[in-house]
Amino acid sequence: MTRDDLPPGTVDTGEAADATGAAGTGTAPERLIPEGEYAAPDDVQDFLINIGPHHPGTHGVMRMVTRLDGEKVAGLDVRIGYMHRSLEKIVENRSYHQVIAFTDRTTDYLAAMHNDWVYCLAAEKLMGIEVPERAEHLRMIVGEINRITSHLMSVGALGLDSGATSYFLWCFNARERLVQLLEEISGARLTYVYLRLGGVIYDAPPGWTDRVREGVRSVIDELPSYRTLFHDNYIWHERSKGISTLSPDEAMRIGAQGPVLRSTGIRWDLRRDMPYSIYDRFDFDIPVGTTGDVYDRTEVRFQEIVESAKIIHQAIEDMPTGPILAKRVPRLPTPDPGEAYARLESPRGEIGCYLVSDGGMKPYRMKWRGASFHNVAMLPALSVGYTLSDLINIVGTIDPVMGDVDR
Amino acid sequence: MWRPHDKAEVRQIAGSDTDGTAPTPPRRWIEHGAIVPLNRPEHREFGPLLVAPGAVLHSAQQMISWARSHSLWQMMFGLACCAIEMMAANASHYDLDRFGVMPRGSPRQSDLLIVSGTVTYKVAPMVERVYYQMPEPRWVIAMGNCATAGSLYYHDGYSVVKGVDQVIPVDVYVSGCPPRPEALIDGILELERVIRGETEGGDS
Amino acid sequence: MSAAPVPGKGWQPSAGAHGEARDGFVAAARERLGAALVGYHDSRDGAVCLVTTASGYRSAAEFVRSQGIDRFDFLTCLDWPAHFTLTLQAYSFDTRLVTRLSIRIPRDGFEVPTVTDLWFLADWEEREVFDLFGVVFAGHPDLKRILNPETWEGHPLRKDYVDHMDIKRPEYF
Ligand code: SF4
Repeated sequence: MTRDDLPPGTVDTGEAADATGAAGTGTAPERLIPEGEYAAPDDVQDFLINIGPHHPGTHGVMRMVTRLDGEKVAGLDVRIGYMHRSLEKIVENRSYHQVIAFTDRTTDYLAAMHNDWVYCLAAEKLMGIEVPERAEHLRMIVGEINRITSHLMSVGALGLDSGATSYFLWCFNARERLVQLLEEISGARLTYVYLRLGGVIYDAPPGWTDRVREGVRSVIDELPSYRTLFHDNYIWHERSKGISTLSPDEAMRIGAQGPVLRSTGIRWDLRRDMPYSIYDRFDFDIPVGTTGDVYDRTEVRFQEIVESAKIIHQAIEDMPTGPILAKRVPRLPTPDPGEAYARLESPRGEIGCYLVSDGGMKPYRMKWRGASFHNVAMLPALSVGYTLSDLINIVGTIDPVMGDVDR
Repeated sequence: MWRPHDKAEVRQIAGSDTDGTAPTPPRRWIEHGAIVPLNRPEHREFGPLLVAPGAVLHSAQQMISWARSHSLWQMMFGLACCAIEMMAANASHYDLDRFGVMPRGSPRQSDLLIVSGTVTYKVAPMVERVYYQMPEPRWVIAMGNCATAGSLYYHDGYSVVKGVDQVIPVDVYVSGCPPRPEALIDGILELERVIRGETEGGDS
Repeated sequence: MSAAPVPGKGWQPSAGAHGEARDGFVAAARERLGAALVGYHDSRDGAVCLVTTASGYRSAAEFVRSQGIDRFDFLTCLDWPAHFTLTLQAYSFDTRLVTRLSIRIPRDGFEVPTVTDLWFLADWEEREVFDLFGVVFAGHPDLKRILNPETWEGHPLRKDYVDHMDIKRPEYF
């Protein structure tokens, strides 16, 4: 529609007003936009803005219908499901071994080892399989390396969102070195189908543990310079401190988990508080924040990198020799009817897998409890009252992975 | 689409492997410089070489295609796991910038849509819309088995489109789950060849 | 609600905590739920499973919540040939007691009372169960499909769901 298409008199053309003092009809022009519509607001002036489904700030395909009051977010409606890949239906038609290929792609693909791990834990509980010691250590090492890569990706993407592109490149540079270590042992860069029911599939290649030590140490040695570049940057402090603060009570009410929960000061980590695998043997700290704001959440992630490195070094130290796969795991397992649930601490919080068997060779039902699904559910509670530009950072700090949200 | 119809002659003109005899018949543009697409494998990797002396501008279209093929601005459109490898390809280690591929946030500024991941029925309209929002000429790379044919979700995946080519036309398919960044780079180089008219496209 | 506990470094759950908490919880459940409690057992992963009647679901959920079981795990549904089993799992931040609450409901035409006011995270989980199984939650603030598009037909995780879009394998394959 152009100006010419409008009915006469609706547009206040300058010449007409000049010539006659009013519009051509001689009466005061009827304006397209009534007077006062965009006047300075006396009260709330809401309008809706749609972010997504595809937007660089949503970390995937997620849609946020945002109600804005001025520049402040007054309401948020998160719509998900754009990456729903029917995981739970597919695994009802696959054997227990085949499911592993789905759990590391379809769910949280940034921490694929953890997803395989939680599925294996649930299935091993269901079948009563004992995992050999060496396999536990290998699982732990690859899991913690994967946690570091995931955290590096998370804080790097946060840098990208807030304008620090070089920080993103630095993080990816470090991540690449660790991904190569994972590739060396599992053969894949992102979707390692490395864990198996009852252990892991490949033993560490010769010299791998030394290269892990070196690689992890090189990343840890670089962290101070990352801190100078980004975390101690004045601009980042301005953009993150006091944004989206969360009190411990509120965090418990909305079911916060993982780094978001720890940033409020609650020292809760499933690795220590409900230990699985062999985490109870290792010594590591749980970094916590104080105010639960954007800065603290990033800080918690950043400090967890160091703790993961500690665990890796300890696990390499006392890794025994021996088998890496449990004996007598059937090719086509048919566990007794029953149910089992396993949970673990993934980089994004608690993930869980609920497996139900009816005695057949396929799972009767698998329910995936995704960390990101619950994190995204609490996004409105975190972001209402802050500006639209902060919303992008808040989304970045809860670090959603759309595969985990929609499964 | 232009093809060097007489490759031997072109190569002779460029003087790369002549035996010293003057090419016949003489053409005036030899004196003014030549851009000759050489079809030796090692040259194909790096595109047409500027060969002195003179420029062979067979047609303006050829020149424009050549320029376009080296400045593919890519739509930042991450769908699933493959998007992580696409980001890795864009980041420091693999550095797609070397090939003139730059991520852009808006479809209006981009030439290349890398469909990186699973296309579901819910997101398919958005993929289509992004594609039609991009200005012509535009190219599409289907990255990964999911975008190619549905991958693991081919059977029983009730919500997954079995290949993005059911939604939008695709120029180059890159297989892998996920493809390594090198494979993506290879796919982009293949697309450059398609743009320059050296090949018809297909699997990479 | 009470302030969240903040276990310091080196804190370990005491070995007997889980057993005591479990016994106390089961005794309280038998007392408070009465006839609504059909049965209970310990599952092989250490959770306490309460099975209640469908009409006692809401009061059982309120009971579980009142016992300080504040961390919501999941809500899901199981499609058995004759009925659905609705399962809710939550655990306690203090005692680490994992509780699983199950009810049997008919496949169609039964409205389950919502528990969104007890656990914040139950909101999306209930929408998901509605989307994938077609279980209706009475009193849910915004019950609509969450994963599939609004126009989707059928509830895909039911065992009798027919996927019309599925690509059939060709005969010669
Ligand atoms: S091809 Fe593989 S890696 Fe790529 S999106 Fe599909 S499942 Fe993920």
